[in-house]
Amino acid sequence: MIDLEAAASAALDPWAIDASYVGANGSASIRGVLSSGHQRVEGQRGPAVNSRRVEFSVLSSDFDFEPRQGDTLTIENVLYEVASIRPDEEGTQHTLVLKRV
Amino acid sequence: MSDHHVRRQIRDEFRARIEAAGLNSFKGPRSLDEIDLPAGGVLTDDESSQLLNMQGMKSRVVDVAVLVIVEAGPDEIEDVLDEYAAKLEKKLEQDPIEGVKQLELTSTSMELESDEEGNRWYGYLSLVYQATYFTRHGAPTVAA
Repeated sequence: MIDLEAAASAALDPWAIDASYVGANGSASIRGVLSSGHQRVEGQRGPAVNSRRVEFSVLSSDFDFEPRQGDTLTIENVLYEVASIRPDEEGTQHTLVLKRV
Repeated sequence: MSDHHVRRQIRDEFRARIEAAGLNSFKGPRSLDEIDLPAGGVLTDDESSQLLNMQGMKSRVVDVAVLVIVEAGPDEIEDVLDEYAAKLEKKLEQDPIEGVKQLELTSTSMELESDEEGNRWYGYLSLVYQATYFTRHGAPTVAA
């Protein structure tokens, strides 16, 4: 039987960094993988604006409370707000979509 | 007298009027998460010029593109954009801009975009003006 949680942990760990999570339901020190992508807002004249998505993938087991939209996260001294939360289908990971505060 | 190109003087005045219309102004390019919404930015892109006389007087027509960005619910976002369009067009057109001989709104476009989860809606409004100004040969910082 595959230990999904161990597999998820092994997948994240090499690139994981520390973060400090402060939420409405609790606070925790967690580790996760930070990623960001840029998408240019097309079709409009004017200054170039990139819609930057910053995501932080964490193990669901790092939370002993329910993370919520509006919670905050400090990663490498940068404060973010949780814009949305996407759990994976296996229930082993959460992807937090972040907005810089 | 400014040391800056007349185009910069025009952009600076546009930004002042964007703020007077109740928007935060930003200097592009930017990432969306660095901008306090609702906000407006300015870009002067295409310009054409024509020599008018042998004394070096030039007529210059520049496109001044204003981008307004708002975040709102799906039921109201178009109306919010047009409310800001009304305020901004009034501020830009009511009083003349120093050095600009003619200012004409030539096109307007609107685009809506949601985030991947569909939780947030962003509205983008472009107002493109043509601004006509004159400069003398060798003096691009002085509107004649």
